Amino acid sequence: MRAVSLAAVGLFLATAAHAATVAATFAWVRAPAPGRAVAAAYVSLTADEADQLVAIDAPGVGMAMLHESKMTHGVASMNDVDTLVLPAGHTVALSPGGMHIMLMDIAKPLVIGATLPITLHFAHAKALVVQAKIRPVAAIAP
Amino acid sequence: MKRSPQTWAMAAGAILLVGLAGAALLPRLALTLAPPVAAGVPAADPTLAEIGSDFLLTGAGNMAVASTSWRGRFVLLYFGYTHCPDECPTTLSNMAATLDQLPAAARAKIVPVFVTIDPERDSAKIASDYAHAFGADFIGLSGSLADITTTANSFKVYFGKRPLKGGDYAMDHSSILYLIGPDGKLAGLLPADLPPKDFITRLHALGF
Repeated sequence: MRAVSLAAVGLFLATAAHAATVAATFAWVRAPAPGRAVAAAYVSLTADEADQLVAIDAPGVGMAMLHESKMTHGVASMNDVDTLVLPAGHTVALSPGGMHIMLMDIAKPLVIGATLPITLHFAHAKALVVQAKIRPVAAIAP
Repeated sequence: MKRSPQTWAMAAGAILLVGLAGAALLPRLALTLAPPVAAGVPAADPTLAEIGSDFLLTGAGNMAVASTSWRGRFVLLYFGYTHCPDECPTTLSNMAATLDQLPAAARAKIVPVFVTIDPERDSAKIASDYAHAFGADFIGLSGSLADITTTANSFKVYFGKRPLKGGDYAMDHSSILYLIGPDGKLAGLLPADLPPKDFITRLHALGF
C-alpha cells in the first residue's frame, strides 16, 4: 500500500515536472500612431510540446487577436488567424510584416518605455503573461 | 463622389470571395486598376512612364498640397493607412531609418510623402500627424475618396476593404515605394522591406 502511494506521488511529480510550457522572448509592442487605438505586438514563442496559441488578452485592450500580414504580387493584406501552431521545440517568431498580435480598441494611451502585460492562452500549456516593452510607432524591430 | 457603405461592403465581400490569388480578376471591382506592379522594375522599363502623375491633395492644416511644389527634389512616396498596425509603420520606420543614414545635404534633397488610401477614416490631420511620427519633414496627405482613387489609380496602387472580426476593417493595398525624380517623373520603384543599406544602394541606382 505504502509502495503504491509512493509510486502515485512519484508519478504526480513526474507529470508536474513535465507539464507543457511555452517560453516567450523578445516581446514588444509597436505603439499606436498618434490618435489611433490599434497597435501590433510581437513575440517569439517556443513550446516544449506541440501546442497552439488560441487566445490573447491584455488590460485596457478591447480586443487582441492574431493577424497575419501577407504580401501577394506587391499587395499587402491583413488576415484574421484563429490559432497559431507551435511545433515542439521550434521557435515561432511573430515579427513585423508577418504574423503579429493586433491590439484593438486600446482604451488609454500606451506609455513608451513601459510594458504591457499580455496574456497568451494555449491549447495545452497554462496561460503565460509576457511583459511586452512598448516602443515608438517608428521603432525598428530589435 | 462618395461610395455608399453598400458599395464598399460589396467590394469587400467580393475581395473575400476571389481572394488575393485572384488579383487578375480584381479589375471587375469598382476600386481597382491595373495588375499589381512588381518590385524592382529597372528605370529603363518603358512601363514606368505610364506610372504616376501630379496630384493635388490635402495636408496639415487642411492646406492643399500639390506634388508640383516638390520639383527640384526627389520624392519618396508611400500609400498606406493609419489603422494599419504592422505593414505601414514597419515600412515607414524602415524608410525613416534609411533616410537618417543619408548625409544632411543628400537628405535635404528628398521629400518623404505618405498618402492614405483610407480617406474615410484618415482625415488630412490624421494622415499628417501619422506621417510626422516618422519624421519632422514627413508629409501626410488625404483627400476625398474620388481624389485619392484618382491618385492611387495613376500610380497603379490597388486598394480595397477587408472586413475583420468585430466589425472593423483593414485595407488591402499595394505596398511599394515610389521614387519620383526632381523633374516630377517616376525614377523607379523600391520594395517596402529593403534593409537600409540596400535601400540606399537602390536609391543611388535610381539616380538619387
